[in-house]
Amino acid sequence: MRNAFANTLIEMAERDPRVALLMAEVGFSVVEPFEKKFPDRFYNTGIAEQSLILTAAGMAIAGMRPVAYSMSCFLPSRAFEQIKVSVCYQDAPVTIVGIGAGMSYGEMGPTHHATEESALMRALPNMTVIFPSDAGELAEALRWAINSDHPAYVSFRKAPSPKLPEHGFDAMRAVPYRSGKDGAILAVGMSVAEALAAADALAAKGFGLSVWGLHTVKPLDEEAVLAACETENIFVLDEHQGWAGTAGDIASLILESGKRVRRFRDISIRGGFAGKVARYPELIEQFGLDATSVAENIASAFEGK
Amino acid sequence: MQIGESEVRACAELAGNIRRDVLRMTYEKKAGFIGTSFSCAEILAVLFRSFLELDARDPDSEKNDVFILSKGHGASALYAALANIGAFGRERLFEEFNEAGYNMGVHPKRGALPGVPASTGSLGQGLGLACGVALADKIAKRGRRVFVLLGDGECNEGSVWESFMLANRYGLGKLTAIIDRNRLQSYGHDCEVLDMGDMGSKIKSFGWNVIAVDGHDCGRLIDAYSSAIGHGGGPTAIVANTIKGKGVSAFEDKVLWHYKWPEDEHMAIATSELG
Repeated sequence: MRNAFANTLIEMAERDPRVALLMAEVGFSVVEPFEKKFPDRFYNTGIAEQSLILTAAGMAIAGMRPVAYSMSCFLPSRAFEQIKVSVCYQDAPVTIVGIGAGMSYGEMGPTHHATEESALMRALPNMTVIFPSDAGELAEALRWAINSDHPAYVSFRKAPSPKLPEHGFDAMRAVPYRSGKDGAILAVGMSVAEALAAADALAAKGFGLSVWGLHTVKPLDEEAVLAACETENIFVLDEHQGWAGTAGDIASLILESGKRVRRFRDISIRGGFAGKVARYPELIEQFGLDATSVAENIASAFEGK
Repeated sequence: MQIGESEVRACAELAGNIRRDVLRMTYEKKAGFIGTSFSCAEILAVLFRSFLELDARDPDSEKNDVFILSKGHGASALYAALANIGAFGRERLFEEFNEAGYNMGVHPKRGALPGVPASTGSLGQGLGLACGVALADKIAKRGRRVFVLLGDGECNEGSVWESFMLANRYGLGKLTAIIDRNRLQSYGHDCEVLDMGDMGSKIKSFGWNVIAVDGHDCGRLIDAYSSAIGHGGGPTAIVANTIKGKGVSAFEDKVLWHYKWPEDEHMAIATSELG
């Protein structure tokens, strides 16, 4: 994923002299080619996320298209008010990029997990929030965000890109991966691969599940959500806190539309910080977000458990 | 730069106009922060009259110098300064300030009025924004200057010091920060809060060129701005020693007048003291 990030930024900077990369002391062994190629458009603000965001916002109001890069666990929370006021209130075209979406920093522990990033960033007016599912979507999301005249938050996993089926990218549209009659899994960004594996396991049990990939969680693709309701069973998969989560947005949308669903399950992180040392795959298993747990969860819903 | 006595007098007169307009705005509209606005009247008057290259007929042109009011609660003084140099009609101050349905808020909003490039009011953000503008100018090789006015209480915020470091690291020589050093915050005097002490030394230790000045002496302020602009190296900070509420004895150096707006009983004395 990180290489897709670095390569896309180089491509955008070649095309557009307004593009600059600012980072807060992250990106070792990834961003150097950008620095080498564009030394006058590469800035390390030091371990200072507030300054990173303010400087980027200032560059944006002076006509540039800065990308502010740091870790997902630090940037939205440490610099939240700077993002709220100097980026979003001013509607400054800053692309904020986080590495380490959800729990993907694994054994680095809860200080390095970013399960609150979605709630924080979705709460801000003028902000578009994107969790790319794979390297291709990351590249497309960056192109879209840098070209947009408004703020965007793009956060990706600290992990190799999963191999997903070929698909197009439209920032405002969910990705329909497969269609089934019994229910629909709406999977946020990094959970798409698990959702597809869970749908395979459920198919083997005789349940046909649609799978939609939601790279963009704000704004929601309302049309896709309402289309998914035709199956009458909605399962939202999201590697973020369920409090103020995307599943809540989806539930509100469905209720307000007057659509009826029989089953709705919010499969996200509820509760505390990770406990004992655990690697990323073990963590998503602990929190019930791996393919096996998701398949069991959905099967139990159909079986009325 | 050689600036004569007449310019010093004109700056002092503009500072007086700013105070008189702020007094009327805060009295009539029952809003705004009079103490902080009065303490920066000369700082703004000298900057706007003698140094800020701003085409009043086209205040938002990219060719203009940039001024950011980081201490956004001093907005009434900013609006008065802009109106008095002709960026917009002065009568608007008394119609629109804090009036529902208008854009002249208690805190400035980016683009809401001619000559207001940034939304401020949350302390500790304006210096970083100014750094970003100065950096973008450096990349684009634009020659304009960037000025930012901070409160000394605002410098309690850690983000300010992050930006001091950045400006020095990237040699932002077109950037001038003015610190309105009135030593009075919103709950008490600086020495009772965090005691910022010798702010000049602190900022100097961050690699900046520092000038300390009496922030109510227009002649000295003219010298300070000249020296900042003439400085060949990195960024300059002007520590302007001021009195919060300066100009009306009853308002001076009193926490109450951080918040309060004048009532009828204050107007006679305030008007007479401001002349």
